[in-house]
Amino acid sequence: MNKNLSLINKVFLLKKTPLFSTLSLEMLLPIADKLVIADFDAGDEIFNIGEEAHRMYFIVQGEVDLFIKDKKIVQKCKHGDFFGDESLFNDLPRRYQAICLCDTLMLTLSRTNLLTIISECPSVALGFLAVYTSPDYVRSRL
Amino acid sequence: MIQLFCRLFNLYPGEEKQAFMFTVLAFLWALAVTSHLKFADALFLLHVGSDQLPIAYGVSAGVMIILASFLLYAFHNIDTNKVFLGVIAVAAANYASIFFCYIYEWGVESKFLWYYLRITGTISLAIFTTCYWTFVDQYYSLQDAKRLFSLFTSAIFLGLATTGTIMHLGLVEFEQVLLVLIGIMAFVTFLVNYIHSIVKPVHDENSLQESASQGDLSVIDVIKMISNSPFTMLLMVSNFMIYITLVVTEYNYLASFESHFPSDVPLGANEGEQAALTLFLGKCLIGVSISNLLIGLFLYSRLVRRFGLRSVLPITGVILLLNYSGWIMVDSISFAVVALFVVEGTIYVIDDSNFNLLLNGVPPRLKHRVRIVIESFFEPTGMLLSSGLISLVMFNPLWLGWLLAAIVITLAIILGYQYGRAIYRNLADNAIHFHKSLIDWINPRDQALLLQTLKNGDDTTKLIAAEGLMVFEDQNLLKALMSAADMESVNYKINLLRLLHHSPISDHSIVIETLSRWYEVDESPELLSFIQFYLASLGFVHPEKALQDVDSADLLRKGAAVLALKKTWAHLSPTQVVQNRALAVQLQEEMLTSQDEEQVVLGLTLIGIEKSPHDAELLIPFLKDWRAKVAVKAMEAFASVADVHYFKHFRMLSNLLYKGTSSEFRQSTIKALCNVGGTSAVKEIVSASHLFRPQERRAAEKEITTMGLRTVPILLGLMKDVQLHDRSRIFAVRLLSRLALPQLRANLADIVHREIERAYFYDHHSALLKNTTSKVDLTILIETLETSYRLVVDFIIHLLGEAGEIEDSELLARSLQSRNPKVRSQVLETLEKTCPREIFFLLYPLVADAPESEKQRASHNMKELRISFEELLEKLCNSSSNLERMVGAMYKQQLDLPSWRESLRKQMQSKEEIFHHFAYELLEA
Repeated sequence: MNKNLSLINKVFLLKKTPLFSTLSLEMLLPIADKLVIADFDAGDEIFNIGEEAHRMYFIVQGEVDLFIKDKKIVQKCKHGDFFGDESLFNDLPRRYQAICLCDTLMLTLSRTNLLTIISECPSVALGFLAVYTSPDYVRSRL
Repeated sequence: MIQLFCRLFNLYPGEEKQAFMFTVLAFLWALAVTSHLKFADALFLLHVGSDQLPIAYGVSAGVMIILASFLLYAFHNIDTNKVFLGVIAVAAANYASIFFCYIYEWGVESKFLWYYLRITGTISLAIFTTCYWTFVDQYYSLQDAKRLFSLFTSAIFLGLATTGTIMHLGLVEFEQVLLVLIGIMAFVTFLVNYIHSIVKPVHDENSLQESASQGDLSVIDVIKMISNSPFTMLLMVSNFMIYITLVVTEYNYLASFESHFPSDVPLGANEGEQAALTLFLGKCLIGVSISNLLIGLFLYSRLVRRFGLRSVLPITGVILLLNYSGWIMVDSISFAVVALFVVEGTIYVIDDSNFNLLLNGVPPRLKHRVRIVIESFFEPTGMLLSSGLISLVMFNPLWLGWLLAAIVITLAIILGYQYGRAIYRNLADNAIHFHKSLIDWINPRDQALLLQTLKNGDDTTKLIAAEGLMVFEDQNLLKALMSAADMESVNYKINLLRLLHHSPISDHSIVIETLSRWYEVDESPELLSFIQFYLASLGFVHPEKALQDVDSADLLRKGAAVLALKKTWAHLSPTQVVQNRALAVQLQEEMLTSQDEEQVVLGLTLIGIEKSPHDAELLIPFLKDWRAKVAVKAMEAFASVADVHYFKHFRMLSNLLYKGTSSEFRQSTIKALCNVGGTSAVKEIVSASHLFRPQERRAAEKEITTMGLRTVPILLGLMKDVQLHDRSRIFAVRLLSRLALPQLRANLADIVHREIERAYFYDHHSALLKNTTSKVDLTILIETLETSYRLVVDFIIHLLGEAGEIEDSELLARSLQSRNPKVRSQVLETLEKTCPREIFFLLYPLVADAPESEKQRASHNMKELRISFEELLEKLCNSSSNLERMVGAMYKQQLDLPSWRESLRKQMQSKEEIFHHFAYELLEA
């Protein structure tokens, strides 16, 4: 697994996520600069239900399963997907647990940075709304 | 009584219990660890002798380096409280084993026990200090640390003082002490667990690790991060030097004591000679601890808050330098006592407290690592080095101490200057640098990756790679870019041409050659039209070739024909040129008068491409077009063609700045206003800037700063204009900071004082009204006052941020609203370092998480605060803010105050349309 993602690689990844797909390279570069690389082994817990939230996650490589109580799977996330964002907005503890299915490489974004991005690029907020209102999206109902 | 207690110890109401628990915890572990260490010191000197101290230092250092590695691993992988509990358990086991060794005299004969005692004593102190502060640091922000950490440090000294008292009284035997220490460890375990279960940690977003794997840093990463932070390196070097100084000074005073007290006394001789040194050390420790307590409890935090951390940093170095200067000349025991005072006192009470505050300047992800490295790697390494230095015959340890003290002072002064920058750097880590251009981000090392992506990527990534490569404006890269596009889809080629069209290399020969080739071989009509238009806009299409397209149904081809007829003059007779232009103008007019929106947009685009000032008048009717796309394109074209000759349209453009809703439209309007009005545009743009989006603000900033220093007087006037919206004033301040920082600073004090008084006014009255009973609901009034309070504070922070050359004052203001206390406290620290002290003292209660009583104390002398409720409403009615005027009038009406109608009619003299609507509704009600 390549853990040394360059700024440009991060930009490529962002451009493919629905949240940032409409942004120009000039806007994507400063955002990518704030993404922190995180790597997890298979079976690692990224966060658990009830924990305080500070960051959201974008999957670069690998798969992550999101569970609610009783180990019931809510969603399987793969390359290009993101999770852990809800608690950054509602300031509530994590409502689901995130566990890596295999060795996983992710990019993380802090709450402060996310809020700054949204205030600078309203299209990102629209991207979130589009995701939250999609019929397949179940995490908001947890 | 509780209030007095809180004032005395700098506690805010509500935090007494938590502070008490951490204080007790500090006292107990310090009592245990210092009892161990000081008894070990005394027993070592009596049974082994000071000449063997370097060996003890050396072994301690070696063991600590190994333990520090475990500690680094443990803090990285295990919760801090669990690591602390583990250390406590090991300490308890250690005391039990020492107890049995001492009782049964194991290792006494070989002197192993005294070495073991001395070595484990030193190690325990270092490890407990690291664990305790790492544990405490989880629960407090920097501003809390400034108020409270000296209380905890004092508790540590109380522990040391109690140790001194126990030793001085000589009532308790060492084996009894060991049993008490085991009991203390049991209670400390309970306390740590209890604190962990009831106190909520204050997380630092940037250092956060929601799980062990996140942000995993290799040793190389850590070294890289440290080398990128000059402050961290300086802090490490400074602590290293302090520690060497400490060991050398400790050696010097112990050697001096030994020369004044007899040694080689057998174990068991409890009377006379054996007790003399222990009793003397005990006496000294009591004295030192009492003075430390006084400094820690009452002096340190007040000194830091009053004079700043920078002034406190050199204290230890100065005392030591003066002491060594005398000691070198006269070998008196009083100098040794002062040295003991420094080693046991100021180094802990002042330098350790300084260190805890200075650590906040270290990048958050490194913070805990640096603490462990300093306390567990550097201290032993320093110990090793100092033991080596002391052992060298050529060095007189007193001269060595003098030299080290001088180095410590120098480093403290440099560290003080670096601290403010380091704090802001940490805060600025949260800033996202949207103002940087592509060339600032992309560096030549990215070229290989970008070229690779051109070959292997999908269309989205390929286009990004192409845009990135264009930044270099390099012929070889451009060649590679165009060759790679040869085999791509039509869609990709068109998108690439769009990118190229807006780049500085749009007319490069390689681009033109490639386009000509594509034109020859490609069969896609869409691409061919696009190429034709592209080439025509650069003047590369022959008019004869264009003539066949003048009636084309394809708009791009038609547009290309118009451009070709207008632009291409070479090899044509003047008559032909005139005919071509006439035809082009006719076609363009047809487009502009068409009912088809696309045709109109194309017509406007052609004017924008040709950039002929004569066409500007043609654009005027379209600037107010109801079709957004048309208006945007018209304003874009107008901005590119208009100049000062069109000043007559200045007022209309200014109005459009307020009415335009699309960002593109507003950005073009800003540009047009600047082209047409020059510096006259500054006032209009700044006044409207409270409506701007970030991109629009950046565009306006670029335009106005390009005008240079001529705009400064206008900007100063706007900054002072209280009738202007606060966001607009902030924008004026920002521009001033870019153009004329000295002028901004010269005008700072007056404005900030006035604004701080405004903030206190709003805060005082909203707090007052919350405790007032009235026949009407005061909620709206209170909320209005609170909103105004926040806006004023926001303005002050921006003002101070810009004047303090803070790159992103927006970040400073936003961080102050952060839910994270650590982020808020960094803002305060940055402000403290960048704004004048008297302003900071006035501002502090407003922006810190201080209780209401602090604000009331700060605003005690402000006369404007003591006004009646009616006067408050009157003041609101005369405010520049629409909201305040409306709320003031509404409450006057609700309370049926005398002559409220007359007052409202007077207010209606303002031209604000929205206020008129409101006033009529109120009068009719």
